[in-house]
Amino acid sequence: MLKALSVIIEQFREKKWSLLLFGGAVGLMGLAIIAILEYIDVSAYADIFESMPEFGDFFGGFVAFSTPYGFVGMELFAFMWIFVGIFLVYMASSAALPAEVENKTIDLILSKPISRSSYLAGKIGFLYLYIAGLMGIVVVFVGAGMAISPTFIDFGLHWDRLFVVYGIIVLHLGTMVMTAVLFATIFLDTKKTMGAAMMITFLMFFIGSFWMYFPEAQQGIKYASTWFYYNTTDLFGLGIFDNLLRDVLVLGAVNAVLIVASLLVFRRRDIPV
Amino acid sequence: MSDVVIRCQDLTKYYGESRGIENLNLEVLEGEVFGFLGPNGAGKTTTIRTLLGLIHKTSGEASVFGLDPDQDSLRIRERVAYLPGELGEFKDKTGRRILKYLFGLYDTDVRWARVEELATTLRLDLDRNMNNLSRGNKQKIGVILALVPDVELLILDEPTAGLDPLITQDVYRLINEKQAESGCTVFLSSHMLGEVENVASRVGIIRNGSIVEVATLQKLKGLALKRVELLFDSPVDKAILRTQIPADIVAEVSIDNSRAHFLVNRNDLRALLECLREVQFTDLYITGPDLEDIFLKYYHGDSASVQEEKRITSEVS
Repeated sequence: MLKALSVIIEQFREKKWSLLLFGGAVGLMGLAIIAILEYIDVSAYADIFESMPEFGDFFGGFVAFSTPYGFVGMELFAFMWIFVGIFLVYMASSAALPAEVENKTIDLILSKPISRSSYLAGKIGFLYLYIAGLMGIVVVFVGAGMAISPTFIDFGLHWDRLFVVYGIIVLHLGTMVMTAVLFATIFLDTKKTMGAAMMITFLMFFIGSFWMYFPEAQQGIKYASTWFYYNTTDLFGLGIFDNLLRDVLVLGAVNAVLIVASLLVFRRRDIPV
Repeated sequence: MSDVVIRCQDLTKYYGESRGIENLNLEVLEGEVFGFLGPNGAGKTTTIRTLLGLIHKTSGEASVFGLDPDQDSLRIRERVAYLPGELGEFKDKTGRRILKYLFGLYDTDVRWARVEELATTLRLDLDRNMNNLSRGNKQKIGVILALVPDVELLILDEPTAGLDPLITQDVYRLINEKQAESGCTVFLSSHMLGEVENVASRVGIIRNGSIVEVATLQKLKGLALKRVELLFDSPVDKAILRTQIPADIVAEVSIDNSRAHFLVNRNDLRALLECLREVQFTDLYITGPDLEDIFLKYYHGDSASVQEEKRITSEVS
């Protein structure tokens, strides 16, 4: 356990600046989106969406988009997998293991008395803490923006929505990153890992976002996509938590399965020179 | 009788279709310094990585301290310090930080005073960024990593790669001191016969993935050949020169424009020099052959002199 902690600490030493700078950048973007709310009347969007109900439904209903929570949920949190997720997949594809192989440092590290499981657990622990820290910074910026935004204050400050959406984003980004970790243990190569992880990511996005356009008999495939359980419009935009427990459990289980699979693969793997 | 620390029996490792090692048999005894010699690509690193559990054997048996590297790798590594042939690129980190990180993975505390002492001996600045260190200086960090922990087995894979001769001497002196102080077993892989000669008591020679000879140093010295090199002012007539070089006592003769070299048994050196009296060379170098020469001569050769050499060395040992 302590050895895994050593790995986590070392990883944070390496990546601390990227965490602070990138978290700050995305946080500032969130702040900017909240600031835009002061100059536009989002309630006017309701009229537009009413005339195009299918378009409105695609984005989670016009109510979601025509409130300050809906607007920020739509413009920021719904796209967090793009703003942050792709960067995290790239980082995990490299930092999880392939970078150690490509830099030829893995032999020296794994020749020390640390089990492969502890080593990988350290890497995985770091990635979760990194995601939690990064999103924590973003949420602090957004929370600060909400607290000083007259629009949000007028609408009402619902901190529970922010807290819940933070948790679900961390879990969802976790599934993306753990997919990369699994491929990293299989390929031990940054480019192959990145390619495979992005392919799965876009496949999941496509299924989770467009399942309603599939033939009715095949729409059940939506349950296989992690995007189906990533509904920031309901959580942040509308404050509907009906499926929260289900979403948390499913995303948590997906994370757990990917972690166990990664550990099993890595334990059996030959470390290439 | 000493305990066996490392034992390999018909150990085989294939990377897909490629051979790493094949039917390798080896025993390293407790407390000895064992030189593991072979040219690049012979399978030295594959053997070491199999023993450390970094790769899994294809067939055969391997054990370190009686433990199976595939099953008990962690328990083995608790008792081993390893220096890989290439330390790797620890980017944007100082030597001190790398050492603290990697020593932190041991269960016991590492004596930091000893680290500083070794750094001074090796003339290494621990606070310099790894990006700015030469290959030799990086290797010094690896040497410190291997020599500081209190372990029972040191596995050193080409420990002096990239080091200058003075530091190389220091490193071998430190290895000797460490072995003398702690009584640890040292498994030293190298392709430099001369270097291993200074520290090893016994050597194993690996070629094409298999052990071809395990011998005491005394026996290996008996096997030693000499490489003779002649330099000329101007291009020589190859045909004439070949008649002047006694074919019955030399081997691997190579002549180009103004240079000729060949191998000779050191017992035949005097006879050779007699024969060369008529040859108008400008320079003459007699050096120890590199390991590849010995392989070529003793493991591919089939001349009577080779057989005779092997007979003599068998008697010596």
